[in-house]
Amino acid sequence: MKIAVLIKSVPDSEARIQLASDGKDWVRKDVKFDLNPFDEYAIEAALQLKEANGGPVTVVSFGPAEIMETLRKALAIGADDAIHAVGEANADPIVTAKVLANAIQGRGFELILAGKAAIDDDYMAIGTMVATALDLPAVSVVVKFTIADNKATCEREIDGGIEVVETTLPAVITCQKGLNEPRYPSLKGIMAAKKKTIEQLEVVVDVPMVTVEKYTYPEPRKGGRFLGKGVEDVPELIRLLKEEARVI
Amino acid sequence: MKILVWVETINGKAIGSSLGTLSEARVLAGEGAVAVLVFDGAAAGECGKFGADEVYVMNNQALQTYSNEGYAAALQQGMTASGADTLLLTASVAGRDVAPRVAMMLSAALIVDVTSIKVDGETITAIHPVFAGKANQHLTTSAGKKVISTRPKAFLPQEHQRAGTVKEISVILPTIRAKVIETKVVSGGRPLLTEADIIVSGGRGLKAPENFHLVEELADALGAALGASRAVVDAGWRPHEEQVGQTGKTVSPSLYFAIGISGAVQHLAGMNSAKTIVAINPDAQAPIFKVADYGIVADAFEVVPKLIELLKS
Repeated sequence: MKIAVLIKSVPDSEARIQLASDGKDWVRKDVKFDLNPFDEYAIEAALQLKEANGGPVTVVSFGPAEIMETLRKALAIGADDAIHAVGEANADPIVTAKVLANAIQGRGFELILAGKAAIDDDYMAIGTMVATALDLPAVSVVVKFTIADNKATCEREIDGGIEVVETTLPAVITCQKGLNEPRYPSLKGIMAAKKKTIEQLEVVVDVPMVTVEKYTYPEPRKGGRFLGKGVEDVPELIRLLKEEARVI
Repeated sequence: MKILVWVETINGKAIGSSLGTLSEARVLAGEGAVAVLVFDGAAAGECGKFGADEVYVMNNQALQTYSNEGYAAALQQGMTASGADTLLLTASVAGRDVAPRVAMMLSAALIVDVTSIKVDGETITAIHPVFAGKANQHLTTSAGKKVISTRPKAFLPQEHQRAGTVKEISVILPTIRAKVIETKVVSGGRPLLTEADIIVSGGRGLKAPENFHLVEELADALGAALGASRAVVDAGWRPHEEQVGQTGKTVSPSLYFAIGISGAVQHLAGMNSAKTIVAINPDAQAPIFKVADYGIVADAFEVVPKLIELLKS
């Protein structure tokens, strides 16, 4: 089964994000980038399908030269090859979706996987937008799926439960935590990755309809109105919640 | 600018977070017209009460079940029927799923999960939390068509009676290729996390899965939804649907109880917009106490039973 996995290089989740003094951007210097954690579930799902039914698995990403390290990591984990759409993404998800859709169109992919969202911008849009651009169905936030008879049966997380969705293929499925346990790159995988192909693609990047005006830090919460020491303070806590905070 | 608000309904009633989004649309529109789209006409009256001048009703049987393609088509046709150029909807589970497709279909600027919105002529600027809440991204667009989704409960319902004139419209749905074949409910009669006014969350401090009955009883005494930290979900004590935090749900209740939760950055990312936070933890140095409005530095096993007893009396 020919599978594409859309991946993104994002700041490490532990990174301290600092804003430029004019607020127009965040400071990239000294920030470590890595594979978007949700994309790890997508790569793992693709590799498990490849082990069962055969591949190949192609990772696809849109970004500047610096994302090469992330593409190599995906190859080291087990993807067969990569497509690097070269350019800078911006705050308009349609721009990125069109670049990715053009990069994968016409190559015969039967399944397109992606993480449910990128941990930096958390737009949760690219997977479904790529599906729309390619006129394909999309199932998002999937915690379990199986493929049989050219259909995917997916369980997706909804508020208060699970929705079971059956989709025709090809389709886009975006992956949520809990789908699987992603494997780590092995030493053998890291060595093999050096010989795998990363296709560099020149792309057309549309003028964005959405731009970032600035970044600001959120207002810090002012905690500590009341701090009790033990069970004897429970009545006071309840009184404060009723009379001061008025939330019960 | 004419705004169309998609108001979601359950059993004939508009959901709270949709009425909040409608209320915000009313504020943004000033004296301009606000239209609403609903898939259940029974909610039309409520929509008028919360600011809708026009309520477009699509009474199609197929819309009684969610589908990414069906709902996107319905929203697109609602935009055409109402003549709106801006679609406002809540970034609920359905909202986050359908907004990217309908924005693409409309060739619209998409700004998601916003906590505040400003309008200046044809320009909309909105704030979207990024980097797990470490920063706010201020996004702006002057595009001819816009789709904006609001973080649930970032805007609260405010009554503002308007005409709410009902217009029934038909919809042409595409062949649905990704179909819902079953829905399994897990919440057991408690409120949904993203809609709840009160949430009681438990963490590793409860020491064992059996002890979560304390969290459940406190939730029941308060009519609250249940939440959990990543640690107890990863340990298999609680289902992932209850997880609050960066890789779980983002919630914005009036009251959030963090019981035996230390307050890791990734957990705070999911709940620090709660109006009031209460922390129960025996460790006075736990980071949760830096954000909690009220707290008790003590063991949950001592404090929670007393809380339950006093709340029930």
